[in-house]
Amino acid sequence: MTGDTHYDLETLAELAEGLLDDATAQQVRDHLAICDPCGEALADLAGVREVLAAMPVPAMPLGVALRVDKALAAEAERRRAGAPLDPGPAFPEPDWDRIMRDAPWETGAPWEEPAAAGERVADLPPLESPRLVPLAATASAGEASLDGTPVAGAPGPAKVNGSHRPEAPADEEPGTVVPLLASAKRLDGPSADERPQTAPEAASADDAAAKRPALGVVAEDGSIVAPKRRTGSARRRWLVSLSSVAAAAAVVTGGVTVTNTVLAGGEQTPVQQTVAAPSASAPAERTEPTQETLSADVDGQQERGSRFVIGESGYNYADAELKANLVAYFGSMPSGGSASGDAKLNRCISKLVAAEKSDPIGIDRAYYNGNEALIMLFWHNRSQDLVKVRVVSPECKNLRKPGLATWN
Amino acid sequence: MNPQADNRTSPAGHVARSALSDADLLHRHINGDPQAFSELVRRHRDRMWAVALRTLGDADEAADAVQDAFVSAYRKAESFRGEAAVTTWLHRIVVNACLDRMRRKAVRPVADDELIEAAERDTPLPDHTGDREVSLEVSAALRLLPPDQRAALVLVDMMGYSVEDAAAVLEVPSGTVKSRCARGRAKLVPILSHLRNRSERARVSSAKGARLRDG
Repeated sequence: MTGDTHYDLETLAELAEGLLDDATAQQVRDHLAICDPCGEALADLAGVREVLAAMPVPAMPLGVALRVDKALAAEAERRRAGAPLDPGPAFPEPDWDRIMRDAPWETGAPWEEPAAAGERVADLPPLESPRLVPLAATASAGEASLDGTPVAGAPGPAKVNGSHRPEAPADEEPGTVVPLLASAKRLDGPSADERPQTAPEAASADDAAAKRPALGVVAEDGSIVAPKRRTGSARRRWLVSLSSVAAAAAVVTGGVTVTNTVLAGGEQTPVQQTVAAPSASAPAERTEPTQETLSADVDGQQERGSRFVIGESGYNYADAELKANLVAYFGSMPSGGSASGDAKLNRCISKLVAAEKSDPIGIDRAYYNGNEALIMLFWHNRSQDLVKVRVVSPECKNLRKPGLATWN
Repeated sequence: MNPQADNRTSPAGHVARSALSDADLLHRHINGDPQAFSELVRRHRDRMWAVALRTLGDADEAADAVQDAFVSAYRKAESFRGEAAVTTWLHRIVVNACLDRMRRKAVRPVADDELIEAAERDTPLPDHTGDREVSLEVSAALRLLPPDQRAALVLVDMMGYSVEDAAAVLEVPSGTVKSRCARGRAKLVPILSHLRNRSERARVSSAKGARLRDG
């Protein structure tokens, strides 16, 4: 190769690294012997190595070193509290078939009784409908996911109720399983004030499956997971919060009218539903698996994570909003009291809380540029109404550089 | 060995610890010595920082990556099996933390002229020459390389590790490291020479300006 034709830099670089086969290498060397530009290019490549090697080695800045120390101290604290060195990815799904083995519906109690309002909810629909006004939905999202849960069963109040929650806010095992004799209508889309107020309305929208009475399990996400009879484990999504379990815990009044009060952002939204009378075969011995059965592995971190109220607006945030005033988006969230039973979520929240060294002023499970995201706000400067915005993926990785927004 | 009996606070204990090998420290950490991991961090943090900063080209990102990496190493110390040097293992965790971060970011432009434009945007025109300026140019140029090539160049050309060590850190064959380095250097040549020429022009013109001004 002579004249105007030259080898490209990549080939020359490969020659220098001994990556070319012998024949090609020889050709290139022959060319180099007569071609000045290629010789210069080869020298330039060597120059790049020198420039890179001459870059000064920076020492870790003190601030970063302190930050690392602090993070490791938090780890050490966690370890002292009994957490294993490697907690693993794992909060393995409980062995549902074993846990539920003795549940009446698993033993084949017939259930062809009529039901009124009821919809089998086996899975949460994806949060793909961004709402224009997330604030209406944020605070109540968890609760609203199982709204106005009618609970038909043995007379008397259901065993589960809101008071279940405070005792065990840190139940991180997916599945505070609360078997209920329940017909459930899960309302995902509309915000609190748009909810159908009565069951017949709700039922009218239901499909044929709705007519099926649901002996269900309230999964952690508050949905009623219809038991699969003698089949494998159902697909379940472990989402949302224990508070939805609380919301699911409705008062049972002999099976006619159920009033369930959903606390949404401080407002009380009574939802009334008419439900069917319980069937004769409804087993009286409803069981309520305790945390013990579910072997909740609680440690301090999870406890921290589960302290916070987690909104679930499903809103698709973009950078513009996350730099602007966020009160409208987060301001309506109640402060404290709710809990999340999602272990992964809690770990992530704890991690961010540890990193930010302060409690969040708002948490929203939503979207960022179309990706599922957890948005957390921390005070940056209270007097200037500045909040720090962290946006992380469900895997708890930053989706966006931490930034500042206003809060006024 | 009872870690509690290890004279955590006494100077003797400190001396003993600093005389330990990395592997011993990691072993002690696994067995509950609360200070052992800190000593490991003290030993290696500057190098880990250098790797992260150069690989990511951004101090904030690097700080996040290094912190994540050390916490991760703390937790999964037990997974260290001793088949590699502790430093290799630590480097691997840091580099992987950086690569994860980079891969999540938007795709960079790839055409050479786009690369150069981007490098110009990223590098403020310096008002005087110096190490800092070169270092800015280099990190701007590095940022334009694909993550794999960047990581290889950081380890081999910048940190001065052997191709074999870099291969162990990156868990790829040596040949792959060499080829990533070669391709990365080939891309850097035009970018760096462009930036250098630009600085050169800026210096010449500002010198002219000074002469005019000062008469």
